[in-house]
Amino acid sequence: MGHLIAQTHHLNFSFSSSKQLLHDLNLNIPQGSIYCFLGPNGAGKTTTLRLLLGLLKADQNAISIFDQQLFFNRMSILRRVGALIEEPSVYLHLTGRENLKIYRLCYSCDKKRVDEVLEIVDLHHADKQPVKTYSLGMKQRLGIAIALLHDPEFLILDEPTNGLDPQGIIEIRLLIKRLNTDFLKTILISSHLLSEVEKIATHFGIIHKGRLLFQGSREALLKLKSDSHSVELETTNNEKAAVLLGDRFRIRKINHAVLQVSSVGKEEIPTLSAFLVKKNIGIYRIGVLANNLEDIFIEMVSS
Amino acid sequence: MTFIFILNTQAELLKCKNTAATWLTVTGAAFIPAINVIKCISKPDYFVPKMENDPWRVWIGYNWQIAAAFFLMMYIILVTNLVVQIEYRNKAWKQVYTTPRSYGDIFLSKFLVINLMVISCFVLFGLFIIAGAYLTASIQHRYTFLLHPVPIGEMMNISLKMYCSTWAVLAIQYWAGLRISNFIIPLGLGLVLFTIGFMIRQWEGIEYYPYMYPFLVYFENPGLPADTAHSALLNSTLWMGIFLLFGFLQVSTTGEKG
Repeated sequence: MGHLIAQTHHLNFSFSSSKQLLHDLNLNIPQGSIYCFLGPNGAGKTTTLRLLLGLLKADQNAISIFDQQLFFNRMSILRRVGALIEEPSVYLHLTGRENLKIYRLCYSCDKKRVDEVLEIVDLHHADKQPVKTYSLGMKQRLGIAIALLHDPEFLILDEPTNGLDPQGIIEIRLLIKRLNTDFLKTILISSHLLSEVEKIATHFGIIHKGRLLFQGSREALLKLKSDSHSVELETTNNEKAAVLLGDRFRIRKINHAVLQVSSVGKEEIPTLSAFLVKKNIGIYRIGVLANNLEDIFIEMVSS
Repeated sequence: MTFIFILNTQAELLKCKNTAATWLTVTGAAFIPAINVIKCISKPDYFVPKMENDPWRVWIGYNWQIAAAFFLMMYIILVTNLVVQIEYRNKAWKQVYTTPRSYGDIFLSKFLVINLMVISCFVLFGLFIIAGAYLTASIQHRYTFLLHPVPIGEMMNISLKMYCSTWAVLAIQYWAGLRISNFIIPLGLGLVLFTIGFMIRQWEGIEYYPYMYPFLVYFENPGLPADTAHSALLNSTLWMGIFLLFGFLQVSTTGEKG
């Protein structure tokens, strides 16, 4: 793993003492990566991102960005971080250009940056239009333009494709990819849909119920994919087969027609079929299901 | 540091462009003089004799009496909430807090912008008073405004005193607006406290009640100590200090921002 741009150290968080939202979270976000923070709704993604931006208060040593502790260096860190949290925070009564001017003043950056970021997010044609007339996709792009205004090294984007149509999702995805490759930004992006980000992410962190279930490179996740299979069977007695296999494997789906077993290693498939035959269960059909990243993700969060 | 604060205040001012707060400032300042122009043009027989000797003093009084008794406080309560609501309505607080600005900067620049709005309203009110008088005199020639000099010094003195009398309520409403994201609650709270003020305006402790300060400063207060207006101005400053401190603590210590 290369140099880490952001880290959390045993990060715990709760709004009230009765319900802890994050449990011992150790995020490692490498420089230059597109780190995709995945998890179902309510998993703790936005809470984590808010903690990383200082919008929620974490323990003193729990978060470090650019090798500095956020608790003590909030302003110097935020000068180098751009953020889009949940829906874009834009002033609807102002034009796109005026919105950018507000943040240009706050970041004390050069006037020409406004045109540059409008160019990057392809909003030049609509810069004098009131933001209330923008589509959701345009607002998201304006939000990203605001985040880019001060040329930050690290971008934090919370579900930037949320609510967009397929065309809008593709546009944002391409933009994020371009920001990483052409502008060398490290990007932390959260999503609840792996399919939206699997094409661009270089690293993944999978969170569920406040716990980090997986963290690693795209290659490490793909290795999981090749190591683990889901098998679909049609047998003389699916119920009995499920009971017998349930001790060793995870039963994903069962009905009178099919039995789906997951987390099966490739070398275990012959053993599995021999085991069922030995127990007098006839096999009509057995096949390996196409296993994509989405399956791995769903499996992780449902197990 | 000062330069960054000025830039941030400029950014806060830009946020107010085309908002209800700006329109309220302009129309609010024009409203009373406009009504008085209509009143004086439509009933010259009644008003001309009243303004024969010192037309400007009477005219300024007509305008300021209504403002001091009612409209000024309504404006202060409304404009403070409207400016703070710009962030809530656009869900922009979280973006504000992710910019590299100190909490003191965020807190004070917005308060300064509210004050600039109020000062603008006072200046516009003064200009509309003068313009209204000239308009009245040009339509109804029996009014003698053109024959007397405009008492600029007196107008500025009244405006300054009245502005100082609003400081306490500005700070209280600002604190309430920051604390409560709902638009109606701080607004309702302000209006209720203002109404209560009218009901207790003869109370001997009224000088400690911020929502009556413009009233106490502008009007004679029979039955109250002679220095009530002076005390009200002093207390207005003290209350402002206290509630600015509360507001700053609210902004800087709250665990959940945006």
